[in-house]
Amino acid sequence: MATAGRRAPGVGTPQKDVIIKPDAPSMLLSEKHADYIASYGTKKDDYILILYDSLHVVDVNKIVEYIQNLQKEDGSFAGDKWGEIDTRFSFCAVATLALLGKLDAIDVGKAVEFVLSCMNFDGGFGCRPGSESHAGQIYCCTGFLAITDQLHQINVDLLGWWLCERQLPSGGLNGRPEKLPDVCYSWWVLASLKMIGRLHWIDREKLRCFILACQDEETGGFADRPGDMVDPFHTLFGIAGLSLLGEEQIKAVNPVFCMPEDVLRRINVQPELVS
Amino acid sequence: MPFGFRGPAPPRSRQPSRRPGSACSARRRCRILLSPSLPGAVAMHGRLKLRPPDAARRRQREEKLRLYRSAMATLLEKRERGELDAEALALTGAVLAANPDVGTCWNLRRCALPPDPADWVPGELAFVVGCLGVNPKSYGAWHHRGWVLRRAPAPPPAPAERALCDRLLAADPRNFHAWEHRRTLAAEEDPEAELAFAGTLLSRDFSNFSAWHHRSRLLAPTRTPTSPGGGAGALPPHRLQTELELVQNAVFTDPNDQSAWVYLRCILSRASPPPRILCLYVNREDATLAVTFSRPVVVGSGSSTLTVTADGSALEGAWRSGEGRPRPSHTWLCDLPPDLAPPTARPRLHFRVTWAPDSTHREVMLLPDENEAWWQEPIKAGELFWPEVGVAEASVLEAQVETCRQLLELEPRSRGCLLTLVLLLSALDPLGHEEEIRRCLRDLQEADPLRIGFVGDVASRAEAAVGVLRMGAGPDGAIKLRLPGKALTSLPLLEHMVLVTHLDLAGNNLGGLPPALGGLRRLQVLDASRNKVTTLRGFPPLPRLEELRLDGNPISHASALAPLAVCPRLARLRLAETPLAATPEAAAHLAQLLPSIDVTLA
Repeated sequence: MATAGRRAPGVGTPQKDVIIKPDAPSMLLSEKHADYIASYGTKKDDYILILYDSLHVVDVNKIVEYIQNLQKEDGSFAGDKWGEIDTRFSFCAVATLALLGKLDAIDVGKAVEFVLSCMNFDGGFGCRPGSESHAGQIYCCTGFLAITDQLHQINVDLLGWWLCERQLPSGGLNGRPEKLPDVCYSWWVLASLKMIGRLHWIDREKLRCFILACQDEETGGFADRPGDMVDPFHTLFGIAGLSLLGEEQIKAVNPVFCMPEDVLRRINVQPELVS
Repeated sequence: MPFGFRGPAPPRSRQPSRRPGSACSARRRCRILLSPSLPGAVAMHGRLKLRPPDAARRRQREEKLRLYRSAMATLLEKRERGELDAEALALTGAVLAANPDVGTCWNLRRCALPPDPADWVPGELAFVVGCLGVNPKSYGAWHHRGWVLRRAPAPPPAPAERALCDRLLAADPRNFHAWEHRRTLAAEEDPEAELAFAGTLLSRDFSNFSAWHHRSRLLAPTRTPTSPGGGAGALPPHRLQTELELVQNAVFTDPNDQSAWVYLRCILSRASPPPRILCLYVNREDATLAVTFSRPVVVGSGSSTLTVTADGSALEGAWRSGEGRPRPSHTWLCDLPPDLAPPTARPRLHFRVTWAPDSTHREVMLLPDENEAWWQEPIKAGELFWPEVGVAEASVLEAQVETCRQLLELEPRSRGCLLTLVLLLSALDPLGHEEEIRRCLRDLQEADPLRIGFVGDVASRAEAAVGVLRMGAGPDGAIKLRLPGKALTSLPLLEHMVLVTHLDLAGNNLGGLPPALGGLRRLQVLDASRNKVTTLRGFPPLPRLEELRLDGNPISHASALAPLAVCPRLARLRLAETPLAATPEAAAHLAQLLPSIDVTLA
């Protein structure tokens, strides 16, 4: 048989993956993480403001108008007036409007058409039509289709297969074939699997071990992979991923919005998922 | 507490806000979380945790931070004053050269550029190249490049852009921004050269899925899984042959790399066919017409997408889902008006159903001596397991089967090969290859311990397909489907089982009985004994169900059986060897909950 490439037949390249050391953290260090997040803000000057339960301070009509004006003729959404088109912005648009109860402000049908045109033959979705499938974009498109009640348009078995193939022997999930595992993909991939009713297609216990191994016992917080530096982004997705896996110490997190279920229940925005 | 922490820890002390004008309701709990706005600190990838930086390094970092903050503060002040001038341009340059991911800075830069693009296009292109040196995957930098190119009075020659992509892909062959940029250029240029480029990268590393994807986009740019009309077939034959050879090289070089197997599946697939009518079923006694589709659809109650005439007159009835809830479903029901089929008269009735999206008509005739009638699309065996298979010539699939069998002799544990062989054999002849398919699936279970759930469901689909193809019609219109002891973990292909009267699912691993069973309007006996069912939540109203066997399932509470109350003809329910049956109050609870049903507890 032909042997293009440097490897001999039958001898595969070792798969890109990480090794979890035996002394890696194996329990959830809740208190450490709480301390980490709380102290993150004690550094000086310039802050990003995150408000809870304060929708009354925002001008809802202006937000709706801003989003409306970002929808293009083909149903896609730009990120801002500078015109970058990406399915991430389709998700942001409908998620924002759904939380505000204003989904009908845009042309939902056209928006759906555009997102579906970003579907690939491997079952996944990319940034724009023709883009390579990527777990982050898949999360955005699946979330979009959940919010617009179009999950039945997804080829669930095919997408589920692509997603469960993200799991590596270490238990971690990557974002595309042959990439390293990363804790944030524990969210993008896991939430997508949950939305399409295929969470059982990965090994949940191994994933849990991987996520826990990404904790930093000294500083608290989660890093992208064991031994790396922590940051709030990966901390959020590590916690949210553990919640989807059923971690009892963590509240139930909604896989569409990455927000606590009890908040969404209160405002009655809980899109139906595939069971 | 933020991030959904539950737990007894007391609320953290509140941090004062520094932003002027921020409101904070005194009455509501308004937590303000603060984090530095230096980008890149909030999300970092691949940064090894090192010992804390020494004093010199810390001072360096603080200086960088100070410069960044001062530049941004100046820029924002200048924006307030409408002063986005050469100084602003220079400041954005300083910030972006160090950190090309500051979106606001790119926006400010574009505002600060002079009116005539001729003045700045070459400079901006060079500037972006510098930024891509810092972060080759910067969305902001790539977007700016595209923005600049669209405004260039004369676009730079494509070779220069391609050379940039070449350099970046040499450093990171999976940089999808660079691949996409090439594709926007390739639109005008020579696809053969692009195919050769992708081929070169693959010959260095077959596990480069970005290169495989690039090929598929070049070979069939308009081909998508959701093409209108669903017409997109597999690739043109000579193109397909080249790709199949390339895949063969790849899988024999590295049978355990998944990229080539995924690509193979892609090139052998076509767009999922749009929903079409699979079956019409009318029952005079139930006074219902049921329409079953190949995929879940939504039919609004007053919809004009699905219409029926009976002997030429339109039926005005509302459509409802067979699953009992107004959700996307395979089966939709329409009640026949009482005057159409009065109990005493039994007229001959001719129904014609029209599905507007593909303008098809289907018809069924109900004769005077019949209580029920149906029309069902003949089943295409090769499309049951893998509906997207897009290759019509068996010879192509058979050649691939041979390749897989040979490879498995060398690498019996290649999970990509095992799954592909299952797909191919199922597309060719699911009954003829039944045993080989089962063998592959057993081997796959062992070869892929991470994905036991996935393989279980794939095996369930293969068994369901075989079961559907073996369905036998018996006397009195009985249609029996037997799937006992098949290790089923799920119940797919129910849309092909809608005429079944007896369904045997005993001794499987089913965790529940899905709402899609609601399409089985003729089902009389359902044996789901010895499964893993704990609740019948979601169980649909089945009009003809007389007997349900649930013995040997982990059902603990009578309330789990509540949905059965709406099955009008359910007469016998078996619950022996369930935790519920062992409880003393069981009989009483069930008598109350399901009064007209004869329940067996032992």
